[in-house]
Amino acid sequence: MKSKKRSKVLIVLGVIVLVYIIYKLTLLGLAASSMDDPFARLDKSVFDLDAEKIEYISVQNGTTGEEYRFSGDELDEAAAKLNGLHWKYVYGRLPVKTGGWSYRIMIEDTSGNWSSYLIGDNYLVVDNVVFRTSSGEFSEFIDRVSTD
Amino acid sequence: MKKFVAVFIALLMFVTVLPIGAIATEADTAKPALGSQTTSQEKIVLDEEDIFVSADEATIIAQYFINDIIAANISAWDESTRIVSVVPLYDQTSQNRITAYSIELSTGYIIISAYLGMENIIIEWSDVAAPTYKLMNFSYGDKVVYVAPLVYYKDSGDSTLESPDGSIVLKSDVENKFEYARNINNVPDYLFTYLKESIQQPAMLANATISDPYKHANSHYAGPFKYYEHINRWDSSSSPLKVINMSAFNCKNHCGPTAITNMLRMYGNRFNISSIKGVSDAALFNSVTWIGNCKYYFNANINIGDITLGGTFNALAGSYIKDCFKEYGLTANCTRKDINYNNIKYSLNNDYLLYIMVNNHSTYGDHHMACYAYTRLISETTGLYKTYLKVADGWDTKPKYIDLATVTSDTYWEARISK
Repeated sequence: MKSKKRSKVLIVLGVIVLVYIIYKLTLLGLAASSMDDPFARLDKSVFDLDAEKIEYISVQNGTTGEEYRFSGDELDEAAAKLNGLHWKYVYGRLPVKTGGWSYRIMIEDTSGNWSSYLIGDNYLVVDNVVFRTSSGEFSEFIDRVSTD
Repeated sequence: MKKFVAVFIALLMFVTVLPIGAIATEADTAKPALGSQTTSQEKIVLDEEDIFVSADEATIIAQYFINDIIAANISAWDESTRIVSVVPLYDQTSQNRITAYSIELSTGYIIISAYLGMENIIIEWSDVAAPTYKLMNFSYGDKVVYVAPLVYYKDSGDSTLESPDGSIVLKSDVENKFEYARNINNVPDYLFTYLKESIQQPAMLANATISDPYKHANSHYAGPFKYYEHINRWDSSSSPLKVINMSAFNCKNHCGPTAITNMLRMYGNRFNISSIKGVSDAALFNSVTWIGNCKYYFNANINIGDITLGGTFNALAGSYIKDCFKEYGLTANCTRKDINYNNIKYSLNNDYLLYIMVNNHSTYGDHHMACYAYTRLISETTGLYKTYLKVADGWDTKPKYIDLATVTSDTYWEARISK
């Protein structure tokens, strides 16, 4: 009798876990399928930028509006840094609109394609796909406009 | 059973920290130049647009003039004298060319030239009398024509003009005497230096914030642009609008609470609400964030897995505004609307405050801000209208403008506030 009850509980918990995993995978699937960006992609390396075709790369602070534009050698380095970005895990997030952000990177190419990406110490957001990176991955960008 | 519970907890912990993508691998035109002024190094040419005075600038000039006259104690003006309205005055053509602004006061008026090239940009003023055009009856759509000191007409849109004594003259027979009175040499040296520096500044960033709609319109669209209309009931009064920025508070992702704090402060100051006027900006902001946190309207830190995002939910911002105003004994009824010219004009015409929400905006990204006015310009060459929303953007302590064309896929909450 006790064993039967335990089995029932285990089945219920298993279903809960399964539903949770399906929910998360569905969320990621939907986020990934709707990801439409001129520069970023859901691949091993997110960016494949040709610095010569990039008009500018900049980083902006969402609290002050301060923007820093990389130019000359710094532009090449910024493009190389983004090209070398490797993520650890990828998340999907609900497509709920909010206002408020801390930092973002903006890229525009010579053809006029433009896009922006929220960043933090350990993440980059492309549409509703969140790329979890190593800690400090974007510190070289954030330090340019941080007031901390 | 203990073993089972332990397995369950372990499983739960595993799932909770499980990256959502569990499948993801551990992978690694301008008009002819008005004139020029030569310096020892170079010759600078100023276009008409460079010395054009906007309605907002004219209001500021008028306020300084009033302050000076009050200090000199030579008029009936005193601390209670305030600006009631700003009326654009046009030339005799039908091309919406502004010649001056009439700053109507609680007592008296000031006429300010729309161009700096006049010998004296204060063309007329009185501390007690009303301007002569007040003798005429104006209907909706009529314009005041002003082509020389004390020479006013009414323009009803046809080929004639009506003078205050009722006589009718053909537009083609009227001459704009101000055109001949403008001379670049009348621009003071210090102002000329400022204009020279401003002209020589590098081209503005495409996504920079907008401080001057005229400059922005003329540099991004086929101009030159002239004033067409505006609605502003909040900061053309004698006390300039106080704008609060996000840097004033130690928080994160807090553009929403800052926008609401600005709305509270603006309303409290304008309508003398003691419950708001009696508290500091920090206390106002703290109460707004407290309400936001309690009711999940706003969260500085929203954890998704082991990363932290945050902000204010667009869909809940209307209820957020309502609850914040309720905290101070006020009623705010909020309606969500699409951002377009007609909606904005309707809302501002009815004296409502607007909570603007932009997403993926080139300048502001995903950002919320308070909007309280707009200015609409028209291109002299193409007839294109450009509308700029005046906002407390949360980044600066001075109001900024947003090009309406860049936010037409976004929405705003219209806040109808009452005591």
